[in-house]
Amino acid sequence: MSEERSSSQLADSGSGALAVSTASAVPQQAVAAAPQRVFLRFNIHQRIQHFLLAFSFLGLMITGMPLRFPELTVTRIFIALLGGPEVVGIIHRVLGLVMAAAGVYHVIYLVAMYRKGHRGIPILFNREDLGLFIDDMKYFLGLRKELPRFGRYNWREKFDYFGACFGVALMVATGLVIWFPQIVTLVFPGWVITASVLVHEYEALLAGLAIFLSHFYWVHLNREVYPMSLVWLTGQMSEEEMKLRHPREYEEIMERERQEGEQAASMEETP
Amino acid sequence: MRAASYIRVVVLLAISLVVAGPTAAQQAETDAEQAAIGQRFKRHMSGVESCLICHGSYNIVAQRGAVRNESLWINPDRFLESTHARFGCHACHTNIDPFGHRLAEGAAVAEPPSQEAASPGTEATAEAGAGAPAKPAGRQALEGKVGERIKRTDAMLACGNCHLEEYRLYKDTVHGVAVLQGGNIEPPFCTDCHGWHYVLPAEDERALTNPANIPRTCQNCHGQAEIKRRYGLTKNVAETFEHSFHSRRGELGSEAVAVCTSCHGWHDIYAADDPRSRVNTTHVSQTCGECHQGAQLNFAAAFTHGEVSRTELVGVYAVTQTHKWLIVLIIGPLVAIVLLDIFQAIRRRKAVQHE
Repeated sequence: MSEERSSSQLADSGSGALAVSTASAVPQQAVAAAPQRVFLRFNIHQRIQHFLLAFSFLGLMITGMPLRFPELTVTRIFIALLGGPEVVGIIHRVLGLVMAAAGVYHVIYLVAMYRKGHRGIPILFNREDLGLFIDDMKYFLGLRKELPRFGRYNWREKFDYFGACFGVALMVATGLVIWFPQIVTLVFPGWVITASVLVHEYEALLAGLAIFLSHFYWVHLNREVYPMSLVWLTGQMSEEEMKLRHPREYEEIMERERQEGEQAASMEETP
Repeated sequence: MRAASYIRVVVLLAISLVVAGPTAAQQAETDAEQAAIGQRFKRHMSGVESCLICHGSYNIVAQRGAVRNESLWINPDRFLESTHARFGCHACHTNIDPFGHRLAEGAAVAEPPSQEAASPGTEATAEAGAGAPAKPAGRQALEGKVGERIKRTDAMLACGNCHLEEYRLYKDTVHGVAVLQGGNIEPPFCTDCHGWHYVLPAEDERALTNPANIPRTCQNCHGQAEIKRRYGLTKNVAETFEHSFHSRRGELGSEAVAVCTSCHGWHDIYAADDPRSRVNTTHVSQTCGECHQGAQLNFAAAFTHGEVSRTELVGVYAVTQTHKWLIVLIIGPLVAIVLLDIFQAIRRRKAVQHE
């Protein structure tokens, strides 16, 4: 399989999965003695979306927290360094728009993938996840020796995705309500503003705890990836890791490649 | 010898007058000097300096009357810095006899003229009747209470002598009515918000009436459970304000910030159900609109001192309770799994070491 062919396959994955799940034989650039195969886990769109989300999330956290803890000295120094609460307010709104843009980008991406013929979103929960979740819990509790055989996304990744979608939608919605209260109260009662302020606060707390305590553990502190998993930048995953973390997906890819190989062979045989 | 020197001085003076002549510059200098002397004299006579000789130096403690056991010490530095220092002690302490130096009995502070009396047409009659000013019923009741803190109302009337406009606004308000007509000495008047001897303009950062200090000033009463209970005041005004963007922006150093008085008014505070109140439904959208262009009645309802509870603000309560549980139910398991993974890692490492 030539490199051009593999990259074109990447861009136009026909695996039936929405996200690019076809693996390809991209020669690894690393110094590894034996040339090891790498798999494309996140394509460029997904990486940009994640980057926009991560960038805006961290910025929003930094510029939003001072409003929650105005009495702290650290807060005051920080605000003064940035040029006063008005400036921080503007930065927060702009970053909010960046986060909203990431969300819109994702929706457009989903629609585009659908129109290209991809059906089904592999990151959504399905009925197999419950069994896998129970197996995973058994593994964590030491009742099971091996990791469960996950597909493209394990239950934790699916949950993170769900949380991110829910969180972005909620934060953008309540943020806009707080930003334009006069317009909102033309239609809605006043307590909607009060509730939005509180929900914005709670959801920020929820998202912050989820990201810093859970997500950062799995992508940074976890012994297997420490200090950081590079997949969010390179989008690539090694064969070894694929076999360990996503064995079902790995098998599916192998199976598909074998079938394609057979097809190609049969094509050659029949004149 | 004495006569000779005297003559010499007179001659010298005469010569100098003839030779130099009173130039315009010199004239102005002597005028300024005289004015300065005059000012100093006036200040001395008005008592700032002579009163402070004792009250600024010694911790005099009152031993009789309404202010028994209270320190009468005045911090001279703070007082001389205050807005009113230039008017002297007697501008406010109108009933103190500077010679006998005791509260001259029967000589109450001058009553500020009533609204009608102050209008130009009736000035003469007001002056004519000044000898026996009519006292409002509430005030008479107050004077009857020997040993109570009458001096507070005295102070208010003393303020009203100059700050007539503010006094007129105040006397009909929820605070003013309680004091003047109810005969209650507890509700706030002038000095409770502005201070006694150390009154500073609101622009001064140290002033009790500076926007940054207003919430604390109001909370002297509205933040005290006992007072709130006694007068049936709204419970959580301080807490709800502190949680609001208005307060937080102020704490972060923003200058464009709303405090108590921005919405409730200054000398014109009425109960919220009074149609004259700035926060009454008849005016509230206008009050909010001063900062938030296009504010409607709905918008005004967004800022409330109401408690988020099962009985009040039920919608907000439901939403926030749901979200609180969401946090517990999501973050709890997520953290539990992280901890399990860490324990697993430790256990596996030990197992490897054993092998």
